[in-house]
Amino acid sequence: MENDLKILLFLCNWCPHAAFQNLQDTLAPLPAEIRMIRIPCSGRITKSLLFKAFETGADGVALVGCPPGACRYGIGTGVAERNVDDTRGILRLLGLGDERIGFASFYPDQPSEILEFLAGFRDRIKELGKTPIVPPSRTGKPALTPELASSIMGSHNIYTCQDCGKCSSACPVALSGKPFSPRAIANAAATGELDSPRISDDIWSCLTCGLCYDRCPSAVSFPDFIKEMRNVASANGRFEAHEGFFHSLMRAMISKDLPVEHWKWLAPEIQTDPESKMLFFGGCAPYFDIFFKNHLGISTSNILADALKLMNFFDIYPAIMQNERCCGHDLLWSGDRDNFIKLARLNVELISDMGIEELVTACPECYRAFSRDYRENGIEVRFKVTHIFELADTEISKGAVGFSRLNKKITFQDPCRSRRSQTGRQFMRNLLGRLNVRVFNEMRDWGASSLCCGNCAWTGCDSYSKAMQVSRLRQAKETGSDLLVTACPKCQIHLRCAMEDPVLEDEIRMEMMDLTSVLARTIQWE
Amino acid sequence: MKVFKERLQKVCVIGATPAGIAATNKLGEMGIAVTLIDESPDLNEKLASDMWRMPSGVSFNYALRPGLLRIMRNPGIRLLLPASVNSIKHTPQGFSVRYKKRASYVDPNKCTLCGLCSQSCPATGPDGAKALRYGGRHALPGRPVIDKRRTPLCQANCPLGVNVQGYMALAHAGKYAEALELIRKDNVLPGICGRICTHPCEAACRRNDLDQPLAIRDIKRFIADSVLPNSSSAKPAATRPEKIAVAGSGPAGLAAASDLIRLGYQVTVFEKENSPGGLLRYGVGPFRLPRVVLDREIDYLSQAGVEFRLGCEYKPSPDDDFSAIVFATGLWKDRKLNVLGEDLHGVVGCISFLSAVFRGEIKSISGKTAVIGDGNSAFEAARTLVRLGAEVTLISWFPEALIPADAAEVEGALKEGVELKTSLKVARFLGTGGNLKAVRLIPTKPGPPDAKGIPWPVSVEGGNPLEIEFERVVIAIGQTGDATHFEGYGDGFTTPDGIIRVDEKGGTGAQNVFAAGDVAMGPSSVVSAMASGRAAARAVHGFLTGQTVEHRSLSRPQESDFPPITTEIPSIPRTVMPELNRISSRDLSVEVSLGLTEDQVRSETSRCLQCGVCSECFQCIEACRAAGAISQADDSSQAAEHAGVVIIADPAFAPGIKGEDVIRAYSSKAINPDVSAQMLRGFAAAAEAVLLLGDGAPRVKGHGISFSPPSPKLSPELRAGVFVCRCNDALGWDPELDRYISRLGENSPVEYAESVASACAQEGAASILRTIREKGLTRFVLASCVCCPLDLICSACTDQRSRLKAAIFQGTGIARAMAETCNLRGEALTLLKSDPALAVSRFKGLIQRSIGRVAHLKSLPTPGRQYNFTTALIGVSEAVAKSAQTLGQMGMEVFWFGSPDGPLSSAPDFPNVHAFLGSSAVTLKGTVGDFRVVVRMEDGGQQVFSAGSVILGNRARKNLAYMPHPDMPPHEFADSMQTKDARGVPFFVPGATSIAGLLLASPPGINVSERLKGTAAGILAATVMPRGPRQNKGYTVSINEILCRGCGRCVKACPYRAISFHHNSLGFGYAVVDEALCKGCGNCISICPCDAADSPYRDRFQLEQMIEEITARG
Repeated sequence: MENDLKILLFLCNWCPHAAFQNLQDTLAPLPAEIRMIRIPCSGRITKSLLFKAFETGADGVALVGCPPGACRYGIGTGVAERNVDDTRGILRLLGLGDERIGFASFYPDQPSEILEFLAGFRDRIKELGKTPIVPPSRTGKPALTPELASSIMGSHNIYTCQDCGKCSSACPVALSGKPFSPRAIANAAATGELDSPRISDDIWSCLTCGLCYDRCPSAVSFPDFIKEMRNVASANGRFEAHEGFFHSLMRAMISKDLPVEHWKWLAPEIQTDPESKMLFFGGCAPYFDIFFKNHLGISTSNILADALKLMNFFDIYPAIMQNERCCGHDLLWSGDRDNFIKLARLNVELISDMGIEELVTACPECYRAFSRDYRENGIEVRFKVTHIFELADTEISKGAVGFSRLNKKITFQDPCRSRRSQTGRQFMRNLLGRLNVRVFNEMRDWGASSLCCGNCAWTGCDSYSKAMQVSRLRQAKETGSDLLVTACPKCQIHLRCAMEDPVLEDEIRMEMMDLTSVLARTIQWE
Repeated sequence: MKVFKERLQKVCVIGATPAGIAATNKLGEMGIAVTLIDESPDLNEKLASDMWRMPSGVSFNYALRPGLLRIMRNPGIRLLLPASVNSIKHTPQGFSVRYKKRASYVDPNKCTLCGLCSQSCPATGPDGAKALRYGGRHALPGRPVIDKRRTPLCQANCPLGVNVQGYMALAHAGKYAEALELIRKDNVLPGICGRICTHPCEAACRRNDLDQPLAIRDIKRFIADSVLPNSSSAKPAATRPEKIAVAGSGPAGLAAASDLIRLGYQVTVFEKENSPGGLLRYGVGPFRLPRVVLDREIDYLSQAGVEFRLGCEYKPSPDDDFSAIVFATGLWKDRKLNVLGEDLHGVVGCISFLSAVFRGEIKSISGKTAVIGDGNSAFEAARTLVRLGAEVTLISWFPEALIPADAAEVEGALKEGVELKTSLKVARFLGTGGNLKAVRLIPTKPGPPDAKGIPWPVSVEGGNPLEIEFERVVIAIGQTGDATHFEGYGDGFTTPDGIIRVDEKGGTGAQNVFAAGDVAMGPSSVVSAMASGRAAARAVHGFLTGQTVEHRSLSRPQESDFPPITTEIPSIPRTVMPELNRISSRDLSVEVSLGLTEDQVRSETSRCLQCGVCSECFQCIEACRAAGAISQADDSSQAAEHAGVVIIADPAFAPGIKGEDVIRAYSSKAINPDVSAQMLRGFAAAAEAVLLLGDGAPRVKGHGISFSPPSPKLSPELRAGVFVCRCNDALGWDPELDRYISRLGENSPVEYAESVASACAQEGAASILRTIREKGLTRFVLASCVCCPLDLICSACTDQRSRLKAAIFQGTGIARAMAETCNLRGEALTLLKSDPALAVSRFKGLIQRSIGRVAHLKSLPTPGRQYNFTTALIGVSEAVAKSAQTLGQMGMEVFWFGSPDGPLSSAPDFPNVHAFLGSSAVTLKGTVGDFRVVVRMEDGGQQVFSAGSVILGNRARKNLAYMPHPDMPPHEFADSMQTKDARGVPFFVPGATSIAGLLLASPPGINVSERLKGTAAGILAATVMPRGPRQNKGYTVSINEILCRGCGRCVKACPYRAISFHHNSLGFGYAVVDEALCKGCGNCISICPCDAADSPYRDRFQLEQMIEEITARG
């Protein structure tokens, strides 16, 4: 069964290819487990493609390029090393370890060296054994028929649309300038034009932020309609941002035997209690930080650490799950309900096995998924789900707690998943009000009217998303603030991404910090 | 004094050094005809030398591989490899270069480098190297080279000219059938000669200089005996109408008959005895030549079509319709001693005695018997007599050491109990009643040597005669002919001894009568008789057709000497053939010598020094029959190459020639200049050559558009073909693969599937093209060794691949986008021998996946862009001035400005150069073909000049800001070449930068004069301009404007400035790829945060699909 090992070799056209071909031409014993994909430069292979191999069941992946100084294009070796390094960080978090991915470089006249590397890599993978990742199925979507569309429309009250246009005039996507209209999607579905771009493209552009629902006089549940449509419409991965990296990641996590090491990075002074009946569920921030570290320099796992510090401050020592996985929110909202359900079941099983009675999270998407999406998809959640803001606000209300001075003018970006919930309406504003800052100014659109950060469920990112983000950052700048407080790691990522702009530069650049971190870093006993 | 020359528009570059390659490439890009001469047969191997490793660590052959392959594909560049230059002379049109091109024996245009020839080559010299040097598939030009030397001495000394080295090599490789075939070409009686040949080859063997000669005869015997006769072959039909009669079936007659049959004649052999073989049957004992061997070899001739008429003496008759007659009747009369008593009963002649024995007329002989004589026949008679039961004494008039018979014969006879009496000559025979009683002998001593150095014995004066009693005497002192046999042919047809007089052409006194063997040349050896028979056959053919037949191969370069016998070659004693012991040998029909074992043959053949290196066994020609690339004909040539300009790029290579118009692309001072310096010298030499060629050289001026001719758009209709290259089955083949291919057509979208023997061969590519057109295919899978259909040469590309791609895509109307390629050879066929099951499964997987991909192929971009052919020079240094002068004299338009920190204060007056005195360049924008130089003029005002290329002086390089985008800080470009471990610098040649068209007058860190650097920059600027439509590259990246978020990462990362930034309607930027500049590396794709960048060839979805196919589906 050794030959069952699947090792993928991405081989650069230039230096190593010549050496590799020399091996083929001399009938050298190339390991049969290794299959080669030739690429123009080692820097061409994205982290998504590297990880895609693991998602689909590769036991090992080697990226082989040219030695530094010999890359035909100069930059490839460095880009490749960073991509491998990032992917390796992801593998480490997933418990797959450092060694299933390898990078090496060879000169064209080093065939024996490359052979030695490949044989050694194969041997190491053989020692590590088969990957614990079981490639998840991605089939099972029903065909989108007019009947199915009609039934989805029926169950989400789309037929009650009065064609008033209030949704379009509120929709941030439409307002960004994109030819997009919630009503047009509804009309196309109603008239059975299922092949039209209104369906095939626009359902992936919707942010599912729900502003249209807020404005709709008929209470048409547009986000839910979009969610359902995505679960039946074929996308061929074309609307997955970041080449579907995070979707791959989520699907990989469905494998039950994956020995995830989610919390290894956590500083030792943070105290947790494995016996606790309260679980702190962190979410995917550590993955985000690795994936985006080379360009955005974000550090969203600080939010998790700060959440735990905050709980420790209140003498709460929750349990954490070393094998914690993604909540699956983005699978559901990007049209892969089957795998969402698998992941959700696994999560509930793992959490229940720990005897957890209450789950606390600092992520609005995790909160939404556990508190609502799981239940709506038939998954029974027997533990209480609490947002960290509710917990903090409740604890602070007990008194004797204050906040140290934060010498900043702040404004606040509401996360779309919380802005209409009690977390958004009550707890976030309470907490913001308690902070000891120079001034807190709301943006032009705030609270229930707040604008989304521009992307949802890692889909539909484009220049219009950027336009939305730019206009949101301009709103933030308009408040005169110097700190943009956020409450969702994705708001940080997307707004930070928009700030990366060689033209607009300082016009939209701004410091950001998650509310959890602000709380944890300034809270004090009075 | 300057001599005016009306120069030919052609440059001869001598020496494929980095300088020579650099010069050839640049001249090739200018569209100038070049002949490149080098002593090495393989540029790849030559340029792999560590001496020329690039500073990046990559060897020159791989770093410059794109350039080398462009040389291969450029029809204006002629390669003379391997060749040496004898002399260079000035001529009124430039130069005449006398060269000698050595033979390679392989046609690079036909060779597919499949490797079959290398597998078949058996010759391994003492160093283990094969004569056919197969340098791997990266060879340039892509072909192996055969090392062949002058005719080996063994072959030269063989009267038949048998290729001994060839069959030694084949026997060593265990290819006995092939070895036998090779022997039979020149010697149709291998089993016979393997036993009784006097082996002059062994006397000539160079092994004599080392230890002992090779046991050639014994090996030949083994070969002849080890191959079972092929009995099924039908008689080949004669191809000529003439019938030839051969009288006599001895070795001469058989050899003549064999050659005549091969020439297509109808041959009838007349034999007066009842069995064929002549002297072989009736003069040689079966204990030395078993009759089964004789019968087998005569049988071979019968099967080849020779008709034998036995018991039938040839008599000319008016009725016969023979066009020619060859007398090979031998000499059957015993020579007499002419002493008293020779007519006594009991005294017989040797040949009459032996023939009576071998006819079976004498079964046994007892009593004391003397054999008079000391030649091989005498010993033959003595040993025959021993076996018949006689007590034998052999009497020789020579002392033992001078006995002319083979030493082995003497030794054998002594072993078998023959008594030897020497230095005695017969005075008379004594008898009573007519019966022999005794022989009177008188002692002899060697006399004075004759002209040939033979000391014929003379009687010892006063020596005492002695008498010895014998019952019988056999006189074995030679044979003579019988003149009475040929009385009908007129006086003087024979000598008085009955030997036919033959002229040098093999003719006789009669018109269509020829003679061979002993009857024509007196008594001799079997091998000489056969040679004489073959000569007669050639004479017959010449007489009937007027054509001459070459007796010996003419393909060996006779001036090329054998490899020396070095001290490393170990001395190994000759293998001795085992023989029967004496006791059991008293039987006429039991062969004494037992023959070598296969192990002995293997070790004995390994002693062969393979003197001629290539053994001319012709196995490679056989192996290459399909491609027909190998010919053993000497294709060397000696000629003069006429060129307007000569560039000597290798000081070790060219004879001395003086003259200021001789361009030397090397330094006479620097002993070991670095490779960058050499390349710069090559560029400078090319520039000087262009200047010398004068007005005739092609120029570009003003503005122009360069474009790729648009590829045919992909048809929406999907009709796919699959073409599988078998690479001549060099790696093997499996019938399952044929079955698989034949079933492919059953499944849509495959309309047609076939395998071709070799796609890169002219016929292979032509048949693919024809099929694509005839079947109206709109997509196709090309499963060969070609990895990509693009106009891209990477360091793994080969001559064969690039040749096949050129044949399919260049000027054929077949779009690159129509093809999906897979490297079937590398990924599947190479496994056929080690793991056939895996090979078959890989094969199917590759083809299946390729078919799956054809539906998703996308049209490739066809970039076009404007070019301004003016060059802007920025700087005041000597190098910049030299660039100005070079370009101006070439006829290019030049603008010359000062650098930011040093206005142009003065400038020499060069033609076509517009020097802006007092000006300073401020910033630089744009890209190749369309640079904008912002210049502060003398009056303080600013002006913007357009230029296609820019050459920066050293200070301008450091101080001038390159500002391709107004919204962004200056773009940093790499201006020093790649060095090991230094990241971020792309590959470019010395003098260039990472920005196409942005050149350096004085590239830093290279030890070459400023003057040369400036000249080199001139040709770099001249060649950066396109000279016509370009090939569609097909691998550029494109950026989706909607998806692009304008983060600018790609703009900053692209080392070539291929990405520019534009403003969208949303208030920020988006990136656009200039397809003419993009090199397709795809690094921008992997740093793009929003998947906006992708490549039409192997895009994200194809890569994902490949990954899934390999991992998920196995």
